[in-house]
Amino acid sequence: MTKDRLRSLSCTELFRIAEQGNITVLHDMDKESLIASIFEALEDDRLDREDAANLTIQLEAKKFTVSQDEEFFIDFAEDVELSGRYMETCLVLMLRDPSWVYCYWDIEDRILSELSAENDYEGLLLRLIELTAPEWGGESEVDRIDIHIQFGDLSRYINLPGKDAFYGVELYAQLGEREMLIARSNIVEGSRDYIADAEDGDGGRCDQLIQLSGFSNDIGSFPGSAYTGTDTPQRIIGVRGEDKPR
Amino acid sequence: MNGQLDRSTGLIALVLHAHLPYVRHPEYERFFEENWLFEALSETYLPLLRVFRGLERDGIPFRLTLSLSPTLTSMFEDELLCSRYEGHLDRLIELGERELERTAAYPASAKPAAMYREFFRRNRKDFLTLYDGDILKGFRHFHESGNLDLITTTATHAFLPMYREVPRMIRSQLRVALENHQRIFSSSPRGFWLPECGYFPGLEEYLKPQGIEYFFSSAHGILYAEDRPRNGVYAPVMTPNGLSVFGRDRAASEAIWSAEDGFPAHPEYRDFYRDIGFDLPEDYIGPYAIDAGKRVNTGFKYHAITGKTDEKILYDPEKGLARARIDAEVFLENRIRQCRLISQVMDRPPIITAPFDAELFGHWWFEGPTFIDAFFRAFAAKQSGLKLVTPADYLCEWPESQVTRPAFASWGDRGYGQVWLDGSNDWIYRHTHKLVQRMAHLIELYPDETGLKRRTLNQAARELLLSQASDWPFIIKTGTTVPYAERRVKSHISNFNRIYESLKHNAVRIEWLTNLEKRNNIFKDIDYRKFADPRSPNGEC
Repeated sequence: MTKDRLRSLSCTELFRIAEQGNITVLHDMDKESLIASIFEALEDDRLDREDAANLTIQLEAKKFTVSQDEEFFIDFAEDVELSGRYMETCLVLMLRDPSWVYCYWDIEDRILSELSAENDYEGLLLRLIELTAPEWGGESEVDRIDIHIQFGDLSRYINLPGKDAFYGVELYAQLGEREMLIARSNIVEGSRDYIADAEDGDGGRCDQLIQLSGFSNDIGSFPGSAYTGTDTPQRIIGVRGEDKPR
Repeated sequence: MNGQLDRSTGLIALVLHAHLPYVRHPEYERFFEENWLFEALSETYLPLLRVFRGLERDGIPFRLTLSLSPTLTSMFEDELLCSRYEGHLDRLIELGERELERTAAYPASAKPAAMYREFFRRNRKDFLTLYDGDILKGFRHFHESGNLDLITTTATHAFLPMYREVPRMIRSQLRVALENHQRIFSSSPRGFWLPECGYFPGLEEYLKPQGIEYFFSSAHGILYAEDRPRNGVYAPVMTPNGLSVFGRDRAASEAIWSAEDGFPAHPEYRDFYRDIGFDLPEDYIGPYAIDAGKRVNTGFKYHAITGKTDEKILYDPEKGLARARIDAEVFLENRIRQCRLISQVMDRPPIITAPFDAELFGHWWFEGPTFIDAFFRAFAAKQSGLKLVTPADYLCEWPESQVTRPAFASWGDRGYGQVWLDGSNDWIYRHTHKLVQRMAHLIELYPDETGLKRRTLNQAARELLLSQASDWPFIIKTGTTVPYAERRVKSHISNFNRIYESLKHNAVRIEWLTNLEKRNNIFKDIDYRKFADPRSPNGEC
């Protein structure tokens, strides 16, 4: 967004942009100050985005750069609003990276009404279950972690406690001492983010080739890249307590 | 190849992936985002074909793997977009004439102005006279001559790890893509480009039945494989079901990708950002650079990168092109050194796999096509002991490799699904997953319809595929034209749901459907019946 483009907009449109972009402006600001505040905030945002992306993504994004004014396409008339729900009970788990899964769910209105009518209804919880095999229950269950969720929540990111495991999620209603299973997700397999141990006899040569490939054999990382981080996604919940949403 | 490759000190596999999302808006006279295609045609696809023609004319051998996405080839075939591109070129040629007059008194600006006028004239001549408006002819020619190994990617460039739990959709994305490729090029690709190099363990099970023999992975996808990769990324690994996986080489990639240290960052190259669409007064540039009240780029960029300063020096096209030739030599020299080093510890010649977005060459890095030209020429002139290959060539010589299961990976930021699954865009998947379920339900209800119902169901299949493009979550995350990307994904979801409800109530409005068919007309021969899961008629969703 260029300053020229901002100047071509009315004050009403500028305030609308500020509101949409969560940009703090004062209601008695004159137009030039308003433009300066918005421009500065948009530039900061743009630079943050660029810094946050690796080279591949930064350059891939250039395919969609045909104007410097593209951040705000002032055409709200054709906005299509989607309902956030399909009114069917479901629970889906998606692996985002070796450390995080994304989980979304929905609960039929009928069940929600029944729950609301229960005197001992206390709330909803997600239960992350670590498994040794892609099957529910029995001996494959290794660990479980409960995450309390709000009535209106429909999705969460969950930090995985380990790797080399399978994970599934169950959605429960807490009814006093009882738990009512509402839905069970698919099972996902965690992903490796380390180099497997050397087999007998090919250690040295293999180590060299791995290092030449740009990776450190010792720590299994890609020096100079952002692969090593377990940066948290937005809107997350850390089940181990130490992870904070950013 | 009969052992020829085995005698070399190293192999280089250059891979270009050309893709743009399907953007076509007949409901508007001109549409801002259609410029994505027009700019890429002008700056990348036509210049690359010129490079290939030059190499062919001069008898320079070259081998390259080129992935063309089905959305891109569909736009290449679209009459409306081709005619709009012609108009786009005419406007730019007219601007070129005016720029020559305007800059006549300033020799430093007149030089790039003259270059641009000639550039757009050549594009027009190539596009209309040489290819008769069908640029696919050019790619087909070099495919048939054996210089290009053409491969493809998923139908609408869906990032497959996000559809891991929806096998039916993965199969449909693959099947539609491969049918499209077969129809256009009369051949089946041996390789496949996974969008954004997005792989998850087990994906090979979908690729194998389609006749695919190889695909590409990010380096860490191979290095974090189930077994330690004995050759690093310098030989493919093989999945348990026999597909070869070629790992991206970091050194070759970063030499070009890096915005700070890569070749394209040299101060003599053309600056991507400064454009006369923003630099010149509105009353002059308006007819060429004002679209719906917004300024847009014209492609006339008169400044060199210069360095980290706002005081950019003027671009000298000759210096830029000369620099590209020097950098191509350096790139080759570095690969020779790299291969010599690696080959000392390998029992077969190392393969350097260097995949790039095609649009990097020309659109972002204006001199990129000249770099490619100079690279092939330098390669032919030098007795380097290296060979240019495609992965298919490699597999002819070494059909077997270490068997292991690669790890989940992409070439996106932080290496996995972080770009396509994020707080900004995660809302998409609830809907796109649901649509797959609904499509399965429709097929169950209407397994073999004809007439209006078939048309309606085919359009549902188009809307379903279009909603899954990786471009929409990518744009939403990276922050360019976010409202457009959001509107696109929402409108495809909404269109599908409307079809779903209409069919359920037997109330399809013909006029609305016809308009939708005209607007979102990708994959004209799509057949919704092929979305049925062959293994489970009722779907697994």
